[in-house]
Amino acid sequence: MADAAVLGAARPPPARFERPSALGFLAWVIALALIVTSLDGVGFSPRELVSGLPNMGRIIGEMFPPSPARLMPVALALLETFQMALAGTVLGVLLSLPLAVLATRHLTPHPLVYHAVRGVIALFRTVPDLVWALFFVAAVGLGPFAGALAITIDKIGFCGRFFAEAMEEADRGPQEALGAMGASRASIVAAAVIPAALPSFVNTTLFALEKATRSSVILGLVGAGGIGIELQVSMDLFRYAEASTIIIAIFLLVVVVEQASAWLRRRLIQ
Amino acid sequence: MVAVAAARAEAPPAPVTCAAGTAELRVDGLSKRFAGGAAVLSDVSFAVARGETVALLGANGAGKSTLLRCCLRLIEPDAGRIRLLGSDPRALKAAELRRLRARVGFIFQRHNLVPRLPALSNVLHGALARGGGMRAWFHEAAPRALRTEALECLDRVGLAAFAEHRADRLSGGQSQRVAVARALMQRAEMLFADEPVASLDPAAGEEVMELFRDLVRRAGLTLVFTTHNLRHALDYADRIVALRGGRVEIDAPSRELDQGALRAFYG
Repeated sequence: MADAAVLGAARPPPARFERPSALGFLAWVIALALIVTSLDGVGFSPRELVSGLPNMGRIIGEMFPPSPARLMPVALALLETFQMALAGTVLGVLLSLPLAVLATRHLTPHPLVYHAVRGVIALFRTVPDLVWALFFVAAVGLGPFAGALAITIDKIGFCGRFFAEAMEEADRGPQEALGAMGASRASIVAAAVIPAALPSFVNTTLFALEKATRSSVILGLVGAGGIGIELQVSMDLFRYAEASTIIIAIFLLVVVVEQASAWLRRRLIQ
Repeated sequence: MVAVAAARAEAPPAPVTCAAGTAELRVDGLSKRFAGGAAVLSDVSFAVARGETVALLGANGAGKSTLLRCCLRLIEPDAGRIRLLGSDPRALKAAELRRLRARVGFIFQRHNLVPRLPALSNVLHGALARGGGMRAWFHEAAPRALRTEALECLDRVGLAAFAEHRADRLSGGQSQRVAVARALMQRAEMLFADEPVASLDPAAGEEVMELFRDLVRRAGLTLVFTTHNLRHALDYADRIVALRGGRVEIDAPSRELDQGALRAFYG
């Protein structure tokens, strides 16, 4: 009885759902309106999707069995695609490391440097790699070099940001200890910050390589080398069996890179 | 003894005077106030003679850690004079300040080792500021002489067998001993230890304090440590300086004090 009295006197439980404020309600309405207008803007039509299904079926039917006719050129183009991804990622990672140090709030030599470098990294990250590829094709000509440069710039933007964040989150204790014993800024970065941020660096680098492998396929479509151009030609000439060989090759490359990267991640991050 | 403490509590002592040239650390009128807060240090004065062990006591927030950090200019004091190993840290340029810091080992409560690196690399970091440079970043890249010295430092704290163990896989006591070895690698003339045993169990804490005593006796090091452990202060320090509200309230040889007097100080 006493317990019931105590329970009765207790405060009622909080509401399951919070009633949105007027501003919150308005935000919901705007978000919903954006989604609806976007669907309308792209001309989303379930009827056209359904009427296109037979075409899709026909194309997929023509893709099988895959054609082994141009296996060697496809293999070479695939190798070139991977080389572009690897070279671009390695260059991007190497160049992003010093930039990331300058873009780390407590390691940068001056706030102006911090803001300038953060700006450059943001520019590299926000402009899509396809746009960089168009720029480099115009600058250095068609071929994988332009593609590798585009990937390099994209990876500087990607790794620069995540490396800087990893260094900002690194435990300050060891850094303070090295500073207290008179170590220089460079020594603190090399001996305390980078070892602490290394797992994150490895993760980001391997993810960047996976991302670069996928994007290097697309870069070929604008003439920046790799297997993308092979796929485009096959599709344009309605050689769907050949296209399916290329798609399977791309799929295998991406899977191999992802598996290798997962294995490396397990080995390196302990 | 309580009377001594009470008398000192009423009238803050004049700065302790050491014989000319023997003071390793002299602090006069040091003050520090953090932005928007109360004064952490107010007109603090004390001196530490060469080879002396001084315990800094005081409740949390009394200013002990800030005082140690100000002495090395890890925190910039607002006012006052500091004389550390013959130099004025406040007057030094960056490179000179680094050279001065290299002569003082700083042991932190949480040891502050680089977690993923082996103990040997962490000890090697002690050579960073005394010309080790890049060669002292990692033990794999260090010349044989530095590696040998680092191993000897580990041996002096009884951890030579753990040279290749990662710092984050050592116990708290072992980690703190590696931090002491790092200070030895600095060839430090003086040690600052900020609550060095606060995060250790009693046995490990005792081991670390014994290690300090041994180093002070054998290597003639000067030691200033902060602690809340009154017995450690009485047993291991030659002199006790106690702070309250950022002011020195007690500055007396430990033999003139006892646990009762110090408990009375803590209230």
